[in-house]
Amino acid sequence: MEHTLRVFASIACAILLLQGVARAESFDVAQPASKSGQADPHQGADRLFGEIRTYLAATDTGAVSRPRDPASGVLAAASDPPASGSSARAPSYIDPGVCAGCHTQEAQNWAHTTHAKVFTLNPRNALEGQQCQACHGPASEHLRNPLNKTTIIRFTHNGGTPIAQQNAQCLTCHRGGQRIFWSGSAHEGRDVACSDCHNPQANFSARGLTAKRSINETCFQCHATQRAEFRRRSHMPLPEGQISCTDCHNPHGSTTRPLLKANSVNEICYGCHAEKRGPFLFDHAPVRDSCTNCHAPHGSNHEKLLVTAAPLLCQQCHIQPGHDALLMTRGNMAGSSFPDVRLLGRACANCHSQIHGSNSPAGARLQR
Amino acid sequence: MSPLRGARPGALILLLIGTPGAAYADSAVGISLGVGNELNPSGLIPGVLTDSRGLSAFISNSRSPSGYLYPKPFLLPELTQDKDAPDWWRSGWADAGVLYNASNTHAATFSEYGDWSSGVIGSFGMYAENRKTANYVSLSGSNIGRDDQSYSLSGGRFGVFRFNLGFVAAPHMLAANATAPWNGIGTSDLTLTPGTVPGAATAAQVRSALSQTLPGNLGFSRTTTGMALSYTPSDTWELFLNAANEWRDGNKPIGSAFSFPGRGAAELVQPVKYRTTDLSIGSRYKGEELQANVTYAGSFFRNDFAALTWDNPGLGTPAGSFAPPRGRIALAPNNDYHTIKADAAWILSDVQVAANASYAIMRQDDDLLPPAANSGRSPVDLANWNTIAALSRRTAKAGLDAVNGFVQFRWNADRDLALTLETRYRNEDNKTDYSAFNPLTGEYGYMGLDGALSRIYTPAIPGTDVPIRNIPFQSNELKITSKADYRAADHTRIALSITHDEIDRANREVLHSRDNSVETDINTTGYEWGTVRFSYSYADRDGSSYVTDPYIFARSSSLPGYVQRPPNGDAPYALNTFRKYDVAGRREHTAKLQSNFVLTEDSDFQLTGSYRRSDYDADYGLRALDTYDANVSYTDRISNALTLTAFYGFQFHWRTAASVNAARSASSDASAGGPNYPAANSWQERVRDTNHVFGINAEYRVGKFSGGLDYTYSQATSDFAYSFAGLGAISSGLTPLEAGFGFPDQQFAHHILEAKLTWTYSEQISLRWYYRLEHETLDDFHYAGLTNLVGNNIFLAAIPQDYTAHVIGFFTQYRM
Repeated sequence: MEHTLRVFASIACAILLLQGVARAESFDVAQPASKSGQADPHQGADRLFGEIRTYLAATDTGAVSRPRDPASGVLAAASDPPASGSSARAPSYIDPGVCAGCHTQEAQNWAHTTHAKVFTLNPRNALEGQQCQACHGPASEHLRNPLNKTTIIRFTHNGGTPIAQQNAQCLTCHRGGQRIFWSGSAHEGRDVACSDCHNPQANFSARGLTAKRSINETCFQCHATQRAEFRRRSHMPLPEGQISCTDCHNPHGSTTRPLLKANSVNEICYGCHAEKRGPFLFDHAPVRDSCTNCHAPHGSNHEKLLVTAAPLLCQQCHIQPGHDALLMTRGNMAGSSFPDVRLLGRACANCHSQIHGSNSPAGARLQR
Repeated sequence: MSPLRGARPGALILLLIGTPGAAYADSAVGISLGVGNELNPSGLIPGVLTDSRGLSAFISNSRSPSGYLYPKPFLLPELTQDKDAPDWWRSGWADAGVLYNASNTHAATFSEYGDWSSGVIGSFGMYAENRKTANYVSLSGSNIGRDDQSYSLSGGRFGVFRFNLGFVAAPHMLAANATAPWNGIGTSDLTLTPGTVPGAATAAQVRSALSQTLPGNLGFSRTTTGMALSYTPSDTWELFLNAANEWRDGNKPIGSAFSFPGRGAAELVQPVKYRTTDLSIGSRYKGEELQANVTYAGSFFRNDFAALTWDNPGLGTPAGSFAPPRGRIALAPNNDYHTIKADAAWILSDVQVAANASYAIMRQDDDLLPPAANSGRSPVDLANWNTIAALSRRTAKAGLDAVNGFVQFRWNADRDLALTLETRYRNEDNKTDYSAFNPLTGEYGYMGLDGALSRIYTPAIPGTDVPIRNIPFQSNELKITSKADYRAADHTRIALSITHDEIDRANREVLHSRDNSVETDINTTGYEWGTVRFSYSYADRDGSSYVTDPYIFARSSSLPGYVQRPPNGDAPYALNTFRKYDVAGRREHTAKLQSNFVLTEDSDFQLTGSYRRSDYDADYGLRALDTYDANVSYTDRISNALTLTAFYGFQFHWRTAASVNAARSASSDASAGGPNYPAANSWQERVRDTNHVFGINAEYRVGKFSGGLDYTYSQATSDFAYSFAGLGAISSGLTPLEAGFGFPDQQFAHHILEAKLTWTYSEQISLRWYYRLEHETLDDFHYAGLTNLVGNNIFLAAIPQDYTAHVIGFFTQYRM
C-alpha cells in the first residue's frame, strides 16, 4: 500500500510539473489558442464576416438556388425579400465551394474523409452534391448572418441545434440498416448524438470516423467502468487491439437492452468461441442459459473471466451429497496439511473439465 | 510442447488467391477483423502527426454535443497525382524498424495477445483513388511476418460498392512454463514414457518423466482470412456479403480424473485444431418511411480431433481396484449454426413501429465415442462398454432451435412526450434426446471414467440412482416494456419504464419466473456546463415454487421398478433451502451516473459511477451481491502542443454465499439442520474484490518532434473470508487453526509505461523511437506452492509468472 501511495504521489507531482512547464512555454505559435492572454479567434471571425457581407453585396455566388422569375428565368436578387413577404428568409443552398472560403481549416480536414470522397467524387443524389450543406443544411442564411446559430445545423456542443435534429440530419442518409433500431434505443433515449461518437468533419481514427482514436476509446469516453474492467487480470484482447466493443455490441440500437449484435448473449460469445456452441449431448444448465452466469465479459480479477473464483463459483449452485459442498480452506492449498485437488489450479474443473458441455456418452457429469 | 509461433502459412496463401478475407466493421453483423495489435491497438498509421490547428479556425477546441473535447485531427499527407495516369491520385507509406525485447522474461501473460519478440518489424499502407471514376483501392499490412501480423486489401467505388479482403493473426498464449509427463503433446494421443506401465506407474516414474521434460508453451494462434462485400445499387438498397475462415492451432490444458477421492486427477494438454467458417449475406432497404433488413448468417465449426486419449499413470488406485490404463475425453464436436433474421421499421408522422423476427438452428451430429476406452473387467466386462455397439445411438443428433420476435410501437403523443410499448419474445427448443441405454446388456446408465466408476443401473441393488439420459434445457421468454419519455426542457429528458418479464423453463428448479422492474432516467445533455445522465431501477424476480430436484426424469430413479435405498429412502438430491441464483427469487437495485463537465474551454472533467445490490431469496447458495464503482477523468489541452489526460477508477465487488456440507446418513431428510445437512456442517464465504485503475496520457508535438507518454496502473485485491460452524464443514483431519478464516488475498498489480517520440525529418521521412516497460505481479492461492505432483494429482504446473519487461524499438518511415 505504501508503495502504491508513493507511486501515486510521484505521478501527481509529475503531472503538476508537466502542466507548469507546458503552460509557461508557448509550444506552438502557429495556432491561436484560447488561454488568457492569447489571441481571440472571434476577432479574426468578425473581420472575415465583414468580408463576407461585402462579397454578398457584390456577387450572386451566395444564392445559386434562389427562386427564379418564372417568366424571365432570372435569379431573384440576393437582397430581394422572400415572396411570402415575411421577414424570415427561406434558406437555400449556395455554391458548395463557398464554404471553404471561410472554413479553410474545416475543408482541409474534411477533404480526407469518406464523406468528402463520396460527396465530391461520386455524389449519388442532389443532396450529396451539396457537400457541406448535405449535413449542415442550406447555408444562404448562415452566409448572411454567420453569428446566428440558428441559421445552420451545427453538430457541436453548445451549437444551438437540438440533438434530435442533429441525429435526424445524419439519419437522412444513414437511416435503416445497422441503425434500424436506433429509435428507442438506450443511446437515443439518453440524447446521445451521432457526433458524440463520430465526427465526419475529420479523421481522428483509422476508420469509422469515430470521435476518438478508436472505437474502444470512443466508447470509453462515457463507459469508464468498462475501461477499468478491461485492465483486470483476465480480459479479452480489447486493450491489445484485437477486438473492439462493436464486435459484441451495436451502439446504433438492437433488440436487446445491452445493445447486443445478436439475439442472446450466447450467440454473441459463440461468434469467437464456436467450439462451445454445441449443442452437446450433455449440456450444463447455466451455460446453456447465459455465459454471463459464470463469466464477466469485460474483465475479471479471476482467471478465465470468471465472476468469482472456483470452487466457490461452483458451490454457489452445487450442494449434492458427496464432495461438492465441503468448504475449501487454506488448509487445502498446495503445501498445506491437506491439499485438495478441488482447490488447486483449475479447482472443480480438474475433474469436471467439460464444464461447457460434454459430447461423450460417459459425460453426464461433465468429466469426459 | 508444441511451439506457438508461426501463423498458418496456408491461410496467407488462401488470401492471396482470393479466399474469404477480413470484414471491416459492421456494427450489426459479424465480427470485425484487423482493428490493430498490441504495439498499435488503434490501427493508426504509426507516428502519424496531428494537426495542431485543430478542427476549425473559429473554435479553438471543438466539443461533441455532450461536451467532450474532440482530439486534434490527423495531419494526413495530400495525395499525389500519377504522371502516367493523371486520373489517379495516390499516397503510401512504409515503416520498418527493429524491436528489441530487452528482458529475459518468458511469462505467458506478457505475450498473451501480442508478439513482443526481438526482430525486424514492418508495416505499410498504400491508397489510390481515381478522381474521374471514383474508384479507390487501399492495401495495408502490419507487423509483417510476426505472430500478430495483419493485412488488408480494400477498394471499390465511392458510394456504390466496396470490398475488403483481410488476413489477421492473433496469438493467445496461455502458459510458458508447463511440464507434462506424457509424450505426444500436440496430438490426440498422450503416452507415458517407455518403461512406465499405464495404470501401474509409480510417483517416482512420473517424477522421472517430468524431470526429463523442459517447460513448454501452452497456447494457440488464431488466424483469420475474411472478405466483405457491400453493394449499394441505389439510395435505398444495400446488398452485403461477408465470409471468413478462422483457424485456431495449438494446444491448451484440460483436466481429467478417474474418480474421487483417492485416485489422482491429471491435467492434460489437448490439441487445438479448430476451423470456423462464418458466412453472412443480406439486403437492406432504407426508404424514408419503411426500412427493412433481411440477413442470413451461418457458422460452421470443425475440430480435427474428436477425442483426446491418454495413458493413465494410475496413481492412487486403491489396491484391488480396476486401474484404467487409458482414458478418453470427447473434444469439442463439429457443429453448424444457421439463422435468418428480418428487421423492419415504419416511420410515420407520429408513430414508429420497429419489428424483428429471427429463427436460428444449431445442430451437432458428431459420431459418439464408446463409453469406455479400456478392456477387461472393472468389475463388469468392459467389452460390453468399449464399443459403439454399447450405445443407443451412434451419433449425437443434438439440436437447438431459437425463435425470436420483437415489436416496438412508439407514439409521439405530444411534441415533448413519447410513449413506447415493446414486446420481446424468445423461445429455445432443445431437440437433443439421448438415452444412456446399452443394447448389448439391456442396461440403463453407462460405464463412467473409462471403467473406474460404474454408473450402470442395477435394479437388484436398491438406490442405484444414476443418469440415464440427457437433460434438454430450454426456455420460453416474453418480455413487455412500457415507457414514457418526456422532454422537460430543451436539454432535459425524463423517462419512466416498467418491464414485465415472464420466463418458462423446462427441467429447471424454477419452471416459471416473473421479473418485474421499474426504471427512471434523467438525462440533461449538452448544457453549457456539460451533461449528466442518471438512472435508477428496481427489479423483483419471483415465480413458481422452487423444486430442489427437477432432474429425476433423467435418472434411473424414474424408471419403473426402481427401489429406493432402505430403510428410509434415497439421500436427498440437495438441501431444500438451497437456491441456484440464476433462477432464484431476487431483488435488485441499480443506479448509474454518467456525467461530464466543461471546466474551462480547454479542459474536461468526467465523473461516472454505478451501484448494484442484488439480494437472492436464499438461506443457502449465493445470497447477495454488491457492486459499485466510481471513475473520474480529466483532460486538459494545455496548449496546442500538449494534451494531458488522467483517469482513476475504483471498483468494488462483494458477494456472500452459504452452504452445508452434506453428511452421509440413512435419512432422506433434505432440511437444514437435519441428519443430511446438520447445522454443524454449515459454512459461509465472502469474497471482496477491490480494484484501482489509474492512467495518465500525454500527447505532444513540438515543431518536428511529436510523441506520447502513456502510463496505466491496475491493482486488484480479492479477499476471501469464510467461517464454519463445525469441523464437519471442512476436510476431515483439518484443525480450525489450519483451516483459518480465509485464503491469502489474491493480489494483482500491472504497470504499463509507453513512451513514443517521432522526429519528422522531412515530409517524406521520419524516425521513431518506442519504449515500453511492463511489470506484473500476481498472487493466486490456487497456484501457491503448486508443483507437478501434489499427492496423486498431476499438474502441468503452469503457474502464472511475475515479470518485468522492457521493449525498445527504432523505426523509420518513408512516405510516398
